[in-house]
Amino acid sequence: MHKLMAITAETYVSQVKTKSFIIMLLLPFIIIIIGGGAGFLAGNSASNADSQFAIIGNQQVKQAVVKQDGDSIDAAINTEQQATSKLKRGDIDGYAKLSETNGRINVHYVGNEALDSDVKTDLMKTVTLAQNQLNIQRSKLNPQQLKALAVEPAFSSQVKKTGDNYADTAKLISLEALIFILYIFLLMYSGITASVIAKEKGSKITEIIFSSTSSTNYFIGKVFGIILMMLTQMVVYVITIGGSYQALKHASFLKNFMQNGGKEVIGSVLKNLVNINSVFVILGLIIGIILSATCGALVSKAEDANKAAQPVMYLIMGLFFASLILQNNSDAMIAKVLSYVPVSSTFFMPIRIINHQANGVEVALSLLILIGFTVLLTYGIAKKYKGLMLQSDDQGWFKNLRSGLKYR
Amino acid sequence: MEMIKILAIQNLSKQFSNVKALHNVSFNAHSGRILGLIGQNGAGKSTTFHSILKFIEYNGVIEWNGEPIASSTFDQIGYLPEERSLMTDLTVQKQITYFAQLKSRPVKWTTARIDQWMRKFEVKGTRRDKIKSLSKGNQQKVQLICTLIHEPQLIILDEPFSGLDPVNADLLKQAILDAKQGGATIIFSSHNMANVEDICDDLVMLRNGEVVLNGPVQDVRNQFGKNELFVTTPMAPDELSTLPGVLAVTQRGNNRYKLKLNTPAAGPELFKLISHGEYIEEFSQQPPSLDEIFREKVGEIHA
Repeated sequence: MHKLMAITAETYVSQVKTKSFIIMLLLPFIIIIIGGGAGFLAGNSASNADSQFAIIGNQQVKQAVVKQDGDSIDAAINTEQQATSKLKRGDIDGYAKLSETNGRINVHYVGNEALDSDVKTDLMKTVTLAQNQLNIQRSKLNPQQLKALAVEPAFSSQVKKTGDNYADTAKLISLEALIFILYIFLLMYSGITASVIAKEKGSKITEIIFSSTSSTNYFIGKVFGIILMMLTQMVVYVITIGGSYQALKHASFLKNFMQNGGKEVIGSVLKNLVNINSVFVILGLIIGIILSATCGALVSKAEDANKAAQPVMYLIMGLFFASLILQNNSDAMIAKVLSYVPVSSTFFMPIRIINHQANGVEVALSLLILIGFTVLLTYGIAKKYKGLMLQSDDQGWFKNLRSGLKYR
Repeated sequence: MEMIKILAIQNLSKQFSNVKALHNVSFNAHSGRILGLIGQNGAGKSTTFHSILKFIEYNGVIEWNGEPIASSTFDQIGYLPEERSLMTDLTVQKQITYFAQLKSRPVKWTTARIDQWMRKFEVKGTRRDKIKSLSKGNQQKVQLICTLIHEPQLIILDEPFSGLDPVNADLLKQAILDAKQGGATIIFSSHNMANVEDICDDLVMLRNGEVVLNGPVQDVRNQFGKNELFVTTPMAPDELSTLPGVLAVTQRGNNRYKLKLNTPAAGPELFKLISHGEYIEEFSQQPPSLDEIFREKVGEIHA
């Protein structure tokens, strides 16, 4: 037992300390920071360049528009003279002059640039209101007629599922998140596992290790070490994301986002992922690591360590594209079958669960098959691992696999 | 008194698909003694070691101290593979403690002994240096420390002298002799007969997977008879070759010759003829060297 732990600890510590792991860990945050920073800068420079307009000729309308688009309106300008001189100096980009002739409000815009569309919409809404008031005054209607004119259309709604308005968005996000998390983690950790083991095999360290402990201990220890490393990465992400949410939850952009459906969407995405689906995902990742550990043992030279994971990579990519294609058609026969076949079931059963297409019995059956497969695979490979690691042929991974299995 | 431990190998045979690697190999190795396993490339030396370490399945019996070798026995074994290998990204200390952990030695136990071993092998570098920053020679020394630090009772060294300069070879010889002093059983393979002759008590020679020589080094040599005579004399080679019982004369240097005799019994008569009853600088009658025995045994198959 202590030898197994020594191998696990060595694998974990030496991997977690590598530059590539730290970069892998920080990369998403670096991307977010760079992306966010660029967005902030772009936003800032855009707001600096915000166009300025003036409204003259109707104090009431001007005040109403300033309330809505204060940033874009220079409220200090009251006369056409001020407006033209500021326009000449480039302080403003244009001005709207309001006037009234025969009960009609005219808006005349003069400028170096077209009137900002938001400002134009708000201005015209306000002007329409003012025009309405003017119309009522001029028509000299009696109170009854006024009342009749004031009738407004009614809007009522009846939605079957209350509080689930964001279900479709949430489903889509859940599916994409599931597929991408599985894909990216599988790719990353297959590569790491295979190359760690291929390096040790290529350097013939294995002979020293196998003269000290069983090949099963070595295999299980390596797999445990890599799983621990993966869990470390996941825990760091969960803590960082949770912590950032706690720190930023009072920030206005996050508040707005959460109030405008963000809360519901994130809630149901979490509900879709943090359930039996995470068991499928975790088993999928473990199988990926086990298969890559096998591939690592099929390489004979340390220089080939980077290519070692290729067979698993192809499998993962195949499953990734298949699940992208079938995610919205997961009731198709092929998707159903794939949701029971071990390895592919880690993609397809969760997809069917999210799409509400699998009942409890089906999920349990698929999970049982997957667990059984994982146990058998681990047992089988552990038994043959000595042969796989000690055979030193160099004739391609498939032939190496064959001679490893036949090794006596 | 400590019990004598024995590595007993009986009728060991191993077949690789169409190659017979070992055929009925039997020999014993005793504690407190050093056994040299010699033979050409492909004679079956490494296969013998791999069988002892259970890397491969085999026919026959291999027992350590009366019991089959199992994972639980591994802690008593120190093995140096033919192809040297270390985890080059680790520090010297981490590498040594990790391998010792796999031999059930706690990190603390090992750490306390590292400096002493590094001094013993004159490793140039500190325990905090990464393995990859060390020279090749120093890496080999670290590898030897990894093999020996956990105080194994059975030490298996596959070509330990290959790639060592004479100074480092002497350090290794001393370490092997120290382990012998400590009561360990040591087996090593070698191409270099001088090393075997220097430190081995016993010797086994393999040829094409079969044992052709087996026994204490001196007995093996003596069984070939003292047919070699080393002399220093002003006599000419032609003159020497006409002496009775001399088969061949080889010049070893100025006035120094090696005579091959047809029988050891020719020695006393030759002493008279060469020394004429007076002082003589060198007259030494010896069995053939291991090197010559090796060549002779290898040659038999080609003859």
